[in-house]
Amino acid sequence: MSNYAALLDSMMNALLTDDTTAARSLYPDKKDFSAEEQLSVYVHGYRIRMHKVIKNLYTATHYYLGKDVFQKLVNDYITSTPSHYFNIDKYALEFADYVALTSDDIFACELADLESMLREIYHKPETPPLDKGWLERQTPDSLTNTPLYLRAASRLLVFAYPVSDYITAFRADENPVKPMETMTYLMVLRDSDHMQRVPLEEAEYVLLTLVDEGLTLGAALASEGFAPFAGNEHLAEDFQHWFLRWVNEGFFRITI
Amino acid sequence: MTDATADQSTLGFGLGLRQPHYELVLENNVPVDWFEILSENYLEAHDGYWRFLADVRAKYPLVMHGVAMNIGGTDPIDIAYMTKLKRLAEVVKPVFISDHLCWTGVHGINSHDLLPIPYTKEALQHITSRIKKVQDMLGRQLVVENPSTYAEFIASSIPEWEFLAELAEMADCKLLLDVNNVYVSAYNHRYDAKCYIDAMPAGRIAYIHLAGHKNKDTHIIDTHDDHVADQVWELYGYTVQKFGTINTMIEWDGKIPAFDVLLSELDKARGIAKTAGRGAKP
Repeated sequence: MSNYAALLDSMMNALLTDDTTAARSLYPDKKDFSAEEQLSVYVHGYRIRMHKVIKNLYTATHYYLGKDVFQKLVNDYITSTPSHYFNIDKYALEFADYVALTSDDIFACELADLESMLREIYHKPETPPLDKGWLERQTPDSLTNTPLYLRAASRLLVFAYPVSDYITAFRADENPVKPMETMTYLMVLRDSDHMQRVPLEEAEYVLLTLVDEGLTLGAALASEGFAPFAGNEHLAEDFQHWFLRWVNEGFFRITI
Repeated sequence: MTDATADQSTLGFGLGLRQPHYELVLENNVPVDWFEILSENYLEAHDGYWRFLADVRAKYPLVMHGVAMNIGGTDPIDIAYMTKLKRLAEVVKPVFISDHLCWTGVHGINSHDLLPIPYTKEALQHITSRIKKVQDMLGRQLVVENPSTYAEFIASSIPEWEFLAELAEMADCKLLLDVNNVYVSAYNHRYDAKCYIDAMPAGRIAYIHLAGHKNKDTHIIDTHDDHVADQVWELYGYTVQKFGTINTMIEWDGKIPAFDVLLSELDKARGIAKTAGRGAKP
């Protein structure tokens, strides 16, 4: 290793280990500004920067866990997990995975997961939505036999807790408390510059998941995966209602 | 529309384009000659941001300024990053593409900071070679900015100003002279800021950065969250007196104020350039 590379490695090591003991061998003392203090600017700056980007993204998770627990979790993440990508946002996005790996609190994990998803989906590519005009041109046959594709900036999500409602209440300054466990189904999508979180019924979520896997609506409705809901006497009515909403909310993208 | 290859010396007085002012800048004809964007804010942003940039570009010349090229690093140049940067440049058609004389990480680990270089002959050769590669990839000259630094390696054998001047010559790149950074580093390392300015090769300076900082007595942190300090204005006056009027912009990245505040700072730069500089842009 060259001397240059060794010097860079020494500094990087100090940043990652939060240790400035090597400073004296690397940097000269300045009047009133010691070698340790010089290196500390970078070492502390590293932690502050990583902490800040995570705190800015996980505001609801921070609120739920409280300052001390959240800070410890973030500090542990920074200590154990370096960033491997030029975009610091990715480092923050992956914090949700760390919470899932290290926390037994399912609600906290789901909250962090949704906050991460909202940011990730926000930057997915724009895909223009199908509109009502398209729907009006469809016959019942063509509607059920045409492959449909979800917008690129969208994701179907399922949670054991109503985390989306919690985030809504948090953002409205309603001081939410941890809710009861309740399975919730969600479509998250970006339309233009706006993020939407659309609550779904369970059957609706299952149907959309099957469509997302490549089945036409007709095939999805007749599939084994949808069988538990196929006997519902209001299915035709529900389906009409769902489909109108999917088109109105812009769930599907233009591909034809 | 300004051509990317033209008007390099007469851009005038610009501002950093930041989110709180997007709408205002796009929907009005603001008295700003050009804008600098932070490349990394857009490289992986959704298409709407790219359309916005294309719309802004139709009204104002743009400059792309980066923080993640890792030009002083020892890892291979990040091809994926460079590919994204080049793609953005195709849309933005920037007058300049700049980044910092620094390193941001090693062994695939990113510090997301602008870390200081040990100014040695080995470093000079290493960084020259990397700038040449980057320029080949981009098909244009890179503009390299002097960083604010808080630590100076014992191993450094060349003063930063000499290193930068020689680097520009060897790599045939342009320089982004950050006058605030010169002041900050000079304060932190107890050297004469004017000596730094004096060593700059005038013909290589593409543009000047001005920004606010936080003085903590024993050292200064480059915060970009306040007005340009009086001492930096003075150094800016010294710089334009020496080199004539140079393209200049104000960076303000934290606690971003109302647009009028930025315009006042820019007017101050214009005034100083007019008084101190030769051939200031009317």
